[in-house]
Amino acid sequence: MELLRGKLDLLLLATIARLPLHGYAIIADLRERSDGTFDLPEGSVYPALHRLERAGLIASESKLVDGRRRRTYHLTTTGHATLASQREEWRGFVRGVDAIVAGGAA
Amino acid sequence: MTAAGDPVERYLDELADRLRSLPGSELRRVLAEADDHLHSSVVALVESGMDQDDAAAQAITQFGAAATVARGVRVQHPAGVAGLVLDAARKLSLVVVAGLCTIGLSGWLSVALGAIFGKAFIAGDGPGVSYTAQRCADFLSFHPEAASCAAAATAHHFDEVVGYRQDLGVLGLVGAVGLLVLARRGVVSRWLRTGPLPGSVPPIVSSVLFGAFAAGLTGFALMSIAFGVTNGAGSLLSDGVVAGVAFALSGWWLVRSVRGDASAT
Repeated sequence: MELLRGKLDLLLLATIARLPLHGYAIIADLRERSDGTFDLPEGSVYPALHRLERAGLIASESKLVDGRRRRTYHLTTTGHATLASQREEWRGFVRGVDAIVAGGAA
Repeated sequence: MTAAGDPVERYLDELADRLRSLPGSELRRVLAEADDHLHSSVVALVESGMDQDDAAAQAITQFGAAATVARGVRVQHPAGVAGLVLDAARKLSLVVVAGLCTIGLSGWLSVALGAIFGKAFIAGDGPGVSYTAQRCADFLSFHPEAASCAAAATAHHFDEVVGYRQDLGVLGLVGAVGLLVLARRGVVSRWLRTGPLPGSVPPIVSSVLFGAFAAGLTGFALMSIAFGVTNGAGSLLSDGVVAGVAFALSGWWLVRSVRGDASAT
């Protein structure tokens, strides 16, 4: 989980970018697609979502589902742009680390 | 299952208690999301074969302790100055009441020490102090039974030293009764659990204050006695001893408070 520090925003943006989701579905999707690697403390995700919303990267809407208020998040235009730039940054980082770590195996 | 017996409802109540400092709209939003999340989680766990009670317990564990979740939310919503002041006033009212009660107890201890060692030990003048005829007449008018001006002055000072402490003690007692009534209604524990300042603030403040008073006053009293100046040392000694007891109780409160926070994390 230490590796996740600082990358939670990117993971959340990438997850919501695929389709609008509510909090529980975001966490379940992250857990499922990472084969359980990102099994987050669930309550910690909501403050991160609220922070991203205040930053204008995501937006939310609330509606009644089975008698309960459900808030669904989707990416804003700024969020899409930020995700694209963070993805690029991440790929560069992975290439750099890989070049050193994988190259050292010989 | 009733709301009171439903662990998810109890969890949401605790979360709401811990987030009372949030603006109403934010609080409603956080609780609605937690409610939706926990119920979605319970449904999924029940569908996977778990029974309802185990599913509720598991969903809450996965969501995280209310104290931890509330801390994460509060970091995103720092309290304003007014919220901080109100929270500090609520929490420190416990220390103020404890302080007043301690002063009152020190007054009663002074009475006891005065009965054993004489009033001069509590409130006697230092060596070389003298009074004008007018002041002597004043003291003797308060204590006509005194055999001398010095004895009347000592008795007068004793009344003041003890009387003021006892008056403050009565004020503390009234405050303590008020806090007890509020504690029985769960208000005091809510003050400690909620708000931007941690619940360990009152025991930390009281430990520091009472510890400093206990060390300073007892040390000064013992030093005076060691140098042969016993007049007045008794009042410092009674203050120091009672502050020492309050310091020990504050330390015990602090340990309990820190352990409670740790177990809630």
